[in-house]
Amino acid sequence: MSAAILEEISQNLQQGKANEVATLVQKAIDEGMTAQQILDGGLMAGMDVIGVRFKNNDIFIPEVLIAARAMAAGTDLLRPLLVGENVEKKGTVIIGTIKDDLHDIGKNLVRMMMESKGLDVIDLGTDVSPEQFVEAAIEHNAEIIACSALLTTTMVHIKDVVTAIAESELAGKVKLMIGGAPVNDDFRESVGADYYTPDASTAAEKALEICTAA
Amino acid sequence: MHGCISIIACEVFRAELELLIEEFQFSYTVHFLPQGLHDDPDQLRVRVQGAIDELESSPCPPDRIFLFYGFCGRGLSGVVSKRTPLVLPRIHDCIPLLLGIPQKEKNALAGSEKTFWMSPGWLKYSQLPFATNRKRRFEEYKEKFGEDSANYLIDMEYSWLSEYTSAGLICWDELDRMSPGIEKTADFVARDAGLEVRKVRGSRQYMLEFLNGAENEDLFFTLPPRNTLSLSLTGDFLATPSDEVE
Repeated sequence: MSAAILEEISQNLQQGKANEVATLVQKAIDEGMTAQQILDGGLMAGMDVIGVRFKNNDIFIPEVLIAARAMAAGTDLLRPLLVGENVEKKGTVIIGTIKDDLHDIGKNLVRMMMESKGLDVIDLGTDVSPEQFVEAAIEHNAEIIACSALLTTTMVHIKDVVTAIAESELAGKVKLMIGGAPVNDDFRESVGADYYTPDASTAAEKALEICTAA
Repeated sequence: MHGCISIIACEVFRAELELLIEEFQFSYTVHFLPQGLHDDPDQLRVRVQGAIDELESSPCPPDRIFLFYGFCGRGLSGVVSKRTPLVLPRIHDCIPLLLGIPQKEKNALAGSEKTFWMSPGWLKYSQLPFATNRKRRFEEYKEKFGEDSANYLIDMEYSWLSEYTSAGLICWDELDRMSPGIEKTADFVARDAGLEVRKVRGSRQYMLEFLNGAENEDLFFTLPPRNTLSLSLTGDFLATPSDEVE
């Protein structure tokens, strides 16, 4: 019975059916399943499939967006219960677009995929200064700062984030992940950031890997 | 005076380029590539490189190739020619060239980063189709994902516009001649995006300097043959010898 409902949650999530996912998650709760079971076996299982299909260009941004929305409908119900179950946090990521950059579609997608992996993501929004990234990482005890840039005029500010981290109490403790259309691994190396990932799915996988190793 | 010049241009510049070429009777060949390639910088690179290769292997190859492009998400990084100098404006996207001012001046314009810039090319090839196709996209999403998801996806498509505080229509003196009715179109698109339009004075000067030979090294960068283009950490253009050119 529990396997069947978890599979139903996963399938409805993959189809982006937010209302149905919420109903099924509530049903699973009412039947006595733990929030962790529902999260892992239903919601995250569904998003894992989405992540693989997106990476393989089998589905595209609209499918990911509605699946992430369906996931959020489920996790909204589970959140208070997860606190009660004392679930161990997987890790915390501070995310934002770099100073002067307003392009946030990619960043939002990365946030959704990271959340689907069970990470806590503190989204600072757009036009985030290096100091704001560092302050938030300290406040939330984050393992990762993730910043994106979509313009060649703004990607130069990523170096400032590297410097701000190096000059703060986070030096050597927090990892800096970068992404965005004009960014690549050569650029990462030249500015001294830790990781570059080419898409939202890979970014989420890498973030989980970093937090697990931390 | 300038030798044989060929132009490879983003179609966003079509209205302005055609106006100036006709007015001043420049005898350059112009190859337009579709607007919007910057959404996939790798594809932009492939298309521009293809156009360069085609010009260089033509029966009458040019002495110089003018690239009417900004750096556009690094789309131009890696382009290379075998024999022909490539000349491009020192800009990171098309807006400074449309405004007629250098990149640094555009960066310093108050509110520039939060402005949804409009021009004849932007409106014709990108912004107007986006606004007028909203209903069609909604119906497609509805058929594929259901009405609830379709509403959500349309909201998400417009969510990026919420970061902008105003729309700026770049106005050359000849604006209405280049694109009749453009102010009404700009109003329609801006309203669809939830923004107010303001007119921003633009100038033909930068583009005209380009067409007149691109001699000002502060404004134009010449990439020698067998070199690829890259950016320094401070955003300046660099030429790096390429091992990959046969």
